[in-house]
Amino acid sequence: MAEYSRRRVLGGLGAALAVAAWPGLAAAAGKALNRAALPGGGGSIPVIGMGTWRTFNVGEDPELRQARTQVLAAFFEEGGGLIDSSPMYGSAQSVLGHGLEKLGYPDSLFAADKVWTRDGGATRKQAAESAASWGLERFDLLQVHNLLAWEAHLETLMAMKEAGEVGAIGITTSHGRRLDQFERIMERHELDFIQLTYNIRDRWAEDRILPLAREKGIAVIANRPYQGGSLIKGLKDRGAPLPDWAGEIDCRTWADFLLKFIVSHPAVTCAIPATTSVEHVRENMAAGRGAMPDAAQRQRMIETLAAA
Amino acid sequence: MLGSLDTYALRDFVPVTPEVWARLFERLNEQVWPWQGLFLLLMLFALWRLYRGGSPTAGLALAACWCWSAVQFQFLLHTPLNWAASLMGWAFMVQAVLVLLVGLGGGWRFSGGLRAKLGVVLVLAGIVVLPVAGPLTGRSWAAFEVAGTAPTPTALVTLGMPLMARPISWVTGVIPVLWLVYSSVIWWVSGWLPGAVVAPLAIATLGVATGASPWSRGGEPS
Repeated sequence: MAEYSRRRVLGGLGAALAVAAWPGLAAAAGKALNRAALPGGGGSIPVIGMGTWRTFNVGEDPELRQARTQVLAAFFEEGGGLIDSSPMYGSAQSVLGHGLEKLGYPDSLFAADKVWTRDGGATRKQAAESAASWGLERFDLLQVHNLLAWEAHLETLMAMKEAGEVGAIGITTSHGRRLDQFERIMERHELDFIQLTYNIRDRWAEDRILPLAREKGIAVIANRPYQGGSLIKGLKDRGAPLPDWAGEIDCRTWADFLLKFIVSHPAVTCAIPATTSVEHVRENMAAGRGAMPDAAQRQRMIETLAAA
Repeated sequence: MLGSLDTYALRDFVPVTPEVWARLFERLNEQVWPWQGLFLLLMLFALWRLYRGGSPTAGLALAACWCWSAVQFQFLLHTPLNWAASLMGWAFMVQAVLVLLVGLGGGWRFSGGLRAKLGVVLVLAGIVVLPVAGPLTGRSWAAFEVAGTAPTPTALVTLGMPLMARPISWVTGVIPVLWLVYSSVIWWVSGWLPGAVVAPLAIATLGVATGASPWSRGGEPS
């Protein structure tokens, strides 16, 4: 979905080689995930994406770069689309660029990044640096990270969108911070996306933010779907059994259970779990397939988790 | 910016996974091989010079280790993972200058007593206990942290040396303590207990040493 740089253009041969090296990529189309429509007729994206905070910050370590490339390959083999990063995430952007180049920049990529600088005049410069790290010409989505210098950045991002320099724009927060201000920005500005923390335990957004996003036609990316990993780790460590009725909504694992809860909210477009494990990425992606819980089942999921 | 700190866990402030942090020390050893031995010898040389009555060369040797750790660990390996690591690198350079100045300014002359013994404890922790604790508790031998090259053992030795000396110079202790706190937080989040307890134990040792007379138990001033 993204437009790519010279590296990508010259990489047509590389793409063919990538399919040879990563044969699973060729079969990706046969494993379609549920997709969510983007507001404003902007197409659709798979409901499970991938975050990169901590997990892709491996620096120049060739061994770990190879391991993350395998995670990316599994993500795309499973039909993944949206990948989210930020200049704040250390080397994550360049590690992504390394992996994507190895994989020949799969067509399903929906590249989402952020602007994270106090310098309100540095929006374009930082976006260009981030794009260079990914090996892209432009991003499908650029967001103002944690509302840092948001007024100046948002104004520039709007101009960039107008000029076709970015596909969509948005704002982010996490951990339920500054929700009042977040809501005011949503009300007063034309946003395509918002990103915030939403999971079965952290449901602050349900009261006002998510209804407002629906009303205004703003796509929603849910970060920290496992509360930074502690939620699913706790369930697995305790050996908590899935409820008998989980099969009704095609849940085979706790990852299914937790992610399906998130992406079944009518306002949520996509969840972005982060992982360093090929096994876990496949587990995450499986949650984007099959039946999704309805409102009554979602309430049951909340009660089940509270008792687990 | 941090409007609701209660929603954060300590791990939310650590930008790397335990795997990456552990690998950092393997990569450090890969990149400096075989010079670890040389820098360990420099550390031992500094200690020997201190024991033999003090000399500017003790500070010089220690300064070389801090410079090496600043460049090789902080600037080259750590900075790509954490933008704040470049600041840590410059702090290590400042530390190199401090130990050099203390060394040139008359330096450290060995002194006995309880405080010196506590200094020996910190030095041994840096040269032997912490490095060996890694492989004995499941970390790779390839990640063996060598004093003089790896920052945490170097910091421990640097904290221990002034305690063994007279006059004591606390100024060279600030940056090592700050590094130990940072390192312990990362290891705490990463789940490696020996690494996590280094800062609390070192600070407790310094606390006891602060209250200890430098010439108690036989360490009479000359």
